[in-house]
Amino acid sequence: MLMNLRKYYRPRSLEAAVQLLSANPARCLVLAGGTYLVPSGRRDVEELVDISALKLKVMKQDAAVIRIGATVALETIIDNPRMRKFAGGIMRDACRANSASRMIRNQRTLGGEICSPLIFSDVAPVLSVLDSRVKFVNFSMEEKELPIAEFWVNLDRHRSKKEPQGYFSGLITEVSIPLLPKTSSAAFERIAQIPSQPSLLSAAAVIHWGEGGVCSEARVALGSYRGRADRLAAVEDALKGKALTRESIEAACGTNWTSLSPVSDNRASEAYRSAAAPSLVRRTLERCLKGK
Amino acid sequence: MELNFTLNGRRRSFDVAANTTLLSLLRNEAGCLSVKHGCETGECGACCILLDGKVVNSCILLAAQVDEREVFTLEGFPGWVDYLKRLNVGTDEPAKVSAGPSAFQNPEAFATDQNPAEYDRLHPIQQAFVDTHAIQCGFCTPGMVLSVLALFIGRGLIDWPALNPKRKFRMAMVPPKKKPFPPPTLDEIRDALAGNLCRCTGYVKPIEAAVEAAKRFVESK
Ligand code: FES
Ligand code: FES
Repeated sequence: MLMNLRKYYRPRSLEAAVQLLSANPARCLVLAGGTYLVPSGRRDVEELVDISALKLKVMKQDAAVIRIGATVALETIIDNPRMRKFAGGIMRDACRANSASRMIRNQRTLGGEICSPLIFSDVAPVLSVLDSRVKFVNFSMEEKELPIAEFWVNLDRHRSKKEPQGYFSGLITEVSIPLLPKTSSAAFERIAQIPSQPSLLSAAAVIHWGEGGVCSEARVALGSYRGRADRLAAVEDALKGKALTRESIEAACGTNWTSLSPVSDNRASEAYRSAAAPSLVRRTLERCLKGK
Repeated sequence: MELNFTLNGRRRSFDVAANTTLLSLLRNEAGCLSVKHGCETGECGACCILLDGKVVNSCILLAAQVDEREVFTLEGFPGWVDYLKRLNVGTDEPAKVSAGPSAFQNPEAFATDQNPAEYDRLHPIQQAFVDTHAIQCGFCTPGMVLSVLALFIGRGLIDWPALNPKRKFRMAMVPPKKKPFPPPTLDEIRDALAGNLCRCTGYVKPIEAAVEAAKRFVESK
């Protein structure tokens, strides 16, 4: 329970929401689904700005991008027929892996998941390999858009400095995901004790196929490893320009991992993550190969 | 702060503190005791309710978040609506009947001017839980029943009604007129119930109950 919560607002316009947030930045937070915030019991929260009335629940597709509003629930993404097909359904699989409970997925929003204080999320590596971008407005009402990795760097910088919001000074409005060319395949894999448990480790990959089945671009990311999403540049470079086979995948996964030392936590030890990650990445890439 | 929302087809107003959760409002002010107080962290699903036709955990929702929205609990099934009306739950007026341990043990509370046949009948989903022995202590059952109800609404087996309370009253009993979609698969049922923890049954029976209820809905066509 949020013991010190005194005020709750549900503004109808973005301007009003930003005004409320900037008036008391140290004590006033954004409330999206509330699945992390409400049970967190945070005592520093005195005011909440519920953004559910801001018309950010829209999902649409233009010529080259899928746009997902910040307050679109994870279950809405799962149920969306377009997302079911897009990129081999990896976005849908990641949203489902996020929580086994449909109740939570009905409440939890994509914007909230991106800003969540928990750095381990199955959605993060998928958004990373899909080259997503995050649109947000800052406290001066300037609209900005950043690649998701850069957005997270900003978010963590603000958080570590204990700047206003505890998160960052702004409000996410939209996540955009570029459409993939037809000559590409994508996969998402995870390891968990049982399917309904949170992931110990997750991996996502997108492969673009060039002439003669050669990999023209590879994007590979790990989740729940060191942070939200660790792009594996060495693996990506090792795959680029190669004809993808089980052997070339095996060789790419055998590249030097020592610079990436994972965290230890109550879900899995550092040793476990180090041992499991190369196999998981190999499995993910082999799934891409099957989906070619 | 003042709050107005539709609870089980009836417009209700409450005065709540900003940090009141929907769970405590429903149990302590609105008399909806089918909504169980379990973990309070969104893990167990005992506090499950339907918000605008979708299942959510009421323990991690602030009451303020449902302002001007539609909440449905097990009490919204036929019989309970009228029973609660007669108890005057949530108002200052004296109760017209006494609250028994269970409405079903208090049959005179069900003698109404509306169709009495509706009141001695459980909802088909509830009946399927009884028939398949899917209830042991029963603590998780209201949440499970609502999860199955939401699944059926999502599959078009049951109509989620417009705001009209008369329609809503019938909503829970009557499959929609249009041709129903095929019944949910076992995987879909498992997924729908995955958020409801049960410490007694081992899940096999509740899943059987959902399969049985879906079968009855489809056959009733
Ligand atoms: S009491 Fe709400 S999920 Fe357990
Ligand atoms: S029947 Fe006892 S918790 Fe499910």
